[in-house]
Amino acid sequence: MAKTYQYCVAENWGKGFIDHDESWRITFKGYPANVWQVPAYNKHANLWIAKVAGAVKTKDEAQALVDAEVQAAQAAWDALPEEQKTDDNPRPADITLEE
Amino acid sequence: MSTYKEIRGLKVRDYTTNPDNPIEGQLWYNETDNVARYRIPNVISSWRTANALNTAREHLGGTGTNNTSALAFGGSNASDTRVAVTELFNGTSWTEVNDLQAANRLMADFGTATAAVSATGSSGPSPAQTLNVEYWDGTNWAEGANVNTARYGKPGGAGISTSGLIFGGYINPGSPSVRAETESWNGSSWTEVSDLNTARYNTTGDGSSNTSALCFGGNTPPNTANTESWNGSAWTEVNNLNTARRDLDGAGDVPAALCFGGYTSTAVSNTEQWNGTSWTEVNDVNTARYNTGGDGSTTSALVFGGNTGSKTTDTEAWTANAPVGAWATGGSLNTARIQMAGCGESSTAALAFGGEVPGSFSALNESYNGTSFTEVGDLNAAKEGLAGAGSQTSGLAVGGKTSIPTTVGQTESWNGSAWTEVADLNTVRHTLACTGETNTAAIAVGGAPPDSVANAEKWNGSSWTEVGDLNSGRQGLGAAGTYTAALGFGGFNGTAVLASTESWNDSSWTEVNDLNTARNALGGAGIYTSALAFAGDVPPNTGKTEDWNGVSWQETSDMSTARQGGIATAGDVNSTDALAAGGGTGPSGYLSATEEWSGSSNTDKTISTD
Repeated sequence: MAKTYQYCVAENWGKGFIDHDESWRITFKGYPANVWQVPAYNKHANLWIAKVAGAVKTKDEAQALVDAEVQAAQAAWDALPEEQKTDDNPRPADITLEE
Repeated sequence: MSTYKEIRGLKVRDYTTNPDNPIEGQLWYNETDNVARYRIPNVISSWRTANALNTAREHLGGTGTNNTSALAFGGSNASDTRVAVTELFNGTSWTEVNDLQAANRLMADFGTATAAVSATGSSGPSPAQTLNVEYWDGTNWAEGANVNTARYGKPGGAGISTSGLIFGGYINPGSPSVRAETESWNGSSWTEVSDLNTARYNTTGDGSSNTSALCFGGNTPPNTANTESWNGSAWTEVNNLNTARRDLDGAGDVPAALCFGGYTSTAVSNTEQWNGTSWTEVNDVNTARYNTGGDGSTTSALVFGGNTGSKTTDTEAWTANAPVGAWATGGSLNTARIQMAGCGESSTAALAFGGEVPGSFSALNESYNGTSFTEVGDLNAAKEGLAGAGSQTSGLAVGGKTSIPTTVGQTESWNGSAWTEVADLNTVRHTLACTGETNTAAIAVGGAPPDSVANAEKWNGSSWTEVGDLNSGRQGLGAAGTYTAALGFGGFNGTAVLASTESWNDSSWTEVNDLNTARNALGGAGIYTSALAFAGDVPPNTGKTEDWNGVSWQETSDMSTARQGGIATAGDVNSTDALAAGGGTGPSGYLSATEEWSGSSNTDKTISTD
């Protein structure tokens, strides 16, 4: 099955990391561990990955990076005092990346 | 041969690659790729929901010139009874005006919202068809000169009140029942002219006068895609619609028309655009329907009422070539925080203050200049879950928590260099919203002490005054506008995440059209006629963005980083310029990432020389 998305790791340096033109052309999704999801087989997405010097990851590699960060956050939440585990501070949920 | 300079007065400049910031319409030559490039704006043509008719109906007449001026008249109501009800649309809402002289449906229609014609149709029990014609002068309907051939079955209509055309229709009993007759109206009498090439009923048409019209679709039977063009003396076959259908509607003229909705074997939403030669599929109507009213042009049209499975009041407005906005990353906060607040005029002039950093609450205040954040004077008290309003030089920090169990009503006023404690809110609260242009004029609304509250309070520069409550108490809502004209949207009521939107008119809150995506802990910017809702917790966290045009929310380009919870937001002019800084995202929590919203965006195109 042809994949819909590709993943890379790139640190968001702020202004100019994603510009308005790129944002219009490409649907970005940012995940923990500086993982970015962009469309696969897309010229503009490939150009953006090159611009930000993104390290391309397979979906499984990206998932592992995200999982590690989620699990660390879950462990930190689990260690919180009970009074801080309130409705407005829920336990971090697992994230499943799309193919 | 003319040169580019002779035509445009400019030379095409060579660049090693591309210019840093090309302007809209700029043309240049890229020496690396050996191609010419130019910059164009990104636009979209689409339907968006508008305020509904007062009376649900189908088989109605509809006239008008664009999506801010329309007339709806007659039709079949929810109990399938002919009605005479007439409604006028002013771009915002429908108002009942004077009725038709006789209840009628399936009539031909043409004209504007101030000068319309309702010709023939079905107004009698047997035979159903009528010769009668009614003329609308902007205030009243009056009977006038009759047509020569009575008919119903929605004949097509085109033109204006002094120069029009009707064509096709249905006669019962008739031989044949399906008609091709065309009649021309010159402002005083009807004259039979050349017939359509293809007889049809439940059709539609458009045109500017009795010498320029287009007829498309209908039922012959079967459903047809056939299109004919009228030049004042004869109908000529031209290219067909892509989707054959009946009970459709249209807008425009012979050189440029729009066809929308209709019935195939079911209600359809297809919209097609005519460029004078052929039909092209464009963005669909949001709600598939048939037997609608409709009017306008290819740049600005309206569809209203009809049948979606039942008679409807739904109205949708078509706007062509509307700018498409987009988010871009901006300079990051120096200190990542959640549950903070912000204020400011735009994406180049903003403040982000308060919030929570890992392990403690924060009094930090950072100022944004469109490129980077700089630390400026701290709040007097560290707090989270507060709200902000005002500008970069005249702001307010309102409410919040100073410790986990302690909710406060504290208000601090920013003068461009320092925060000063001023009078407290009457109702202490956190996760409230606050909107206003300066530190002397704001409205604070909603929040939680800990249950969601509906209270609203107005700030006049020295004290808070309780004003009308929200209809629905909520916390974590977004807000936009001024203290006399504001919007509150989304949030959480203790049980459910909300999509509902309320509008403040300086007297009371009124429920208006909902967000498309219900969400809590979202951001808001703009004014009550042009606002932006973004991010929030659905759950999960989202980057979805919606823009408000004074009537309804429409989804637009998403943020690249989904986030929620105390995003510092700025942008109090309209929905075309906003800033979102910080907030929380999934497990990573504390964000420093900032995104800047521009209500327009551009694309660079390459000129092919092959």
